[in-house]
Amino acid sequence: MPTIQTTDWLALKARVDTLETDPVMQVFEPGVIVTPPTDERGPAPFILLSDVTNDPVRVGIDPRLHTRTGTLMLTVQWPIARDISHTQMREIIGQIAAHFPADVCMSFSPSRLRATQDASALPSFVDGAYRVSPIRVPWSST
Amino acid sequence: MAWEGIDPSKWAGTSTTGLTALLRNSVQALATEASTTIPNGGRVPVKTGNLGRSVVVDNKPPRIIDGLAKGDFSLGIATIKPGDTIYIGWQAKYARRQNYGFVGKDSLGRNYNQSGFGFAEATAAKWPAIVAEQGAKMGKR
Repeated sequence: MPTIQTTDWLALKARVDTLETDPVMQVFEPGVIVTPPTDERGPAPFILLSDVTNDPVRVGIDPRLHTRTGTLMLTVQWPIARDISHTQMREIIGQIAAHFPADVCMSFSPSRLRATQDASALPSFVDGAYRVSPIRVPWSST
Repeated sequence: MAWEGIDPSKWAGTSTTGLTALLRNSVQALATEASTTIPNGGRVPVKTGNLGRSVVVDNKPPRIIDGLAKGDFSLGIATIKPGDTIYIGWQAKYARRQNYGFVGKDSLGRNYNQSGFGFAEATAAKWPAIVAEQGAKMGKR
């Protein structure tokens, strides 16, 4: 039986796995060694995942009752060599954010998680060879 | 017969002082949390300690610095008062890529391949608990 930490992550991952982006972007899990993908036009965009968990908060007398919270971060890495307008970039990350609306349920085995508010798409910035656009999904156990 | 209850103007003065103290104590606790490194129970990754020391508290957005941070955020706390906009941030140049992840070469040609640590998000999530804790401490005085 996997731990609650594992099933929480798998619940988030299950939701990420249903994400469809246009253009298609490879998704890299936290901690993996990333080989930046390429296509016929050169370096291709991709998404880095980060799984940030907060300290559990005890709810009441029952020691089994805790609220677990965290932030799933999806960081779109768009090669600066690939032309894109600000409007196009906002649309791409907006569609990813829309995949995680407030109260969307994410579940796996005993884990029942929900997004506590709509995902936020932060302003893009250039870092190295990529235009970086982070998207934050705050979640909580129900 | 003279009024023997609580002097309203004195109570109001105490409340304002209390609110200011609550805000300053809470911001100080948040800044301390923001500078606590992973080996010390915090969320900030550490190699040289510069990132943790680069936390600043100010009434304007933090300025990015190239060199080593001084590691003192207390000056910014002394002047804040309720109603102010306060910024707490990391001044180290590489703070953003540590938080959101970075793949590629830096300006010195070193290769990086890391996902984000998300210490900014984890620190911000502690704010309600910090205010509640500081409020409870002050309530006992």
